[in-house]
Amino acid sequence: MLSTIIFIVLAGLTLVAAAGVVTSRTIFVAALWLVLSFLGVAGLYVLLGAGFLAAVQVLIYVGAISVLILFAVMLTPNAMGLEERTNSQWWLGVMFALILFGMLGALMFSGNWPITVSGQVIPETGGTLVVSSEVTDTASTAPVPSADDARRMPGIIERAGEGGASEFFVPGQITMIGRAFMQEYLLPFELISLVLLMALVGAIVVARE
Amino acid sequence: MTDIPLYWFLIVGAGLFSLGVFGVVTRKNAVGVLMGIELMLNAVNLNAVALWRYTAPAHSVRVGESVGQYVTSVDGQVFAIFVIALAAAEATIGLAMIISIYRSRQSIDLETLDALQG
Repeated sequence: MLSTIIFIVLAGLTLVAAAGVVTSRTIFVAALWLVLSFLGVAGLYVLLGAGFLAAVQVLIYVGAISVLILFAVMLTPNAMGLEERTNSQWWLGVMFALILFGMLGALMFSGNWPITVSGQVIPETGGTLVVSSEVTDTASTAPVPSADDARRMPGIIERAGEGGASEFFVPGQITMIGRAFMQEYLLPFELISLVLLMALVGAIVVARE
Repeated sequence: MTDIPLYWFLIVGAGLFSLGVFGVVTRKNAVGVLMGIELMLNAVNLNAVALWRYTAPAHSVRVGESVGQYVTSVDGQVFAIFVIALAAAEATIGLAMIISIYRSRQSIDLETLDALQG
């Protein structure tokens, strides 16, 4: 119930701010609405259990890209004059956006998404997995895998614990993201750093006097 | 968390994307168009993370006292981080071009930028 209220507040904030971005008269006000919209999306990430991504969103979008956009607004004074802010075919844009929203909304509403994660996601920070040999209270309905099942789960770290029994450590989300970058997505990760370097150099070359 | 259906997030993403498209096709100011593109990229990220959160492979586990699901992949979040990095690169280049155009023409009105028109 509480999460539903939080969702509605955040979604409303995001969409109202996005509407402000595309309709406000002055471009400076639009940039400020954009910051609010980014913050709303960061809140939705938190609600989705992606805390690290929310932090990245605040750092990069709210902290860097918005400031960059504000810089560009400030460095281009009187660029537009006081004439109309939108082009003469804005009504076509409205129709196109509405039709697009209708199609995407219908597609997503009717989509048969295979839901696999319905409960709480754990752990955000990692912890020691409880396996069946350690469970003493049989009344508990909590799912406990056997040691063999735990070994088959990807990403689990097995350690020798006290008394020779294995301990299974579940990685936290940030650990998993770091591993994904350094193992599965190593090549894209290196390429994206190259892209960022090229963008940096390119921006300096293009904007230089 | 369980009481929010997945499609709520997807529809917020669709709305954000449509608003971004509206901004891109109607704004006359080049900076406004870039803002629309940022909104669209945010919508894509929101969809990726929402779909990851609800449809990633998962095992029911118990860690200490807490009971829940161990999601074994973070692909959606990794995808979103790549998109954020590309968005940063795109914003940098776009704004550098806007400033360069402003220097030479004193205007960033997209309707007057027709030098490449045949």
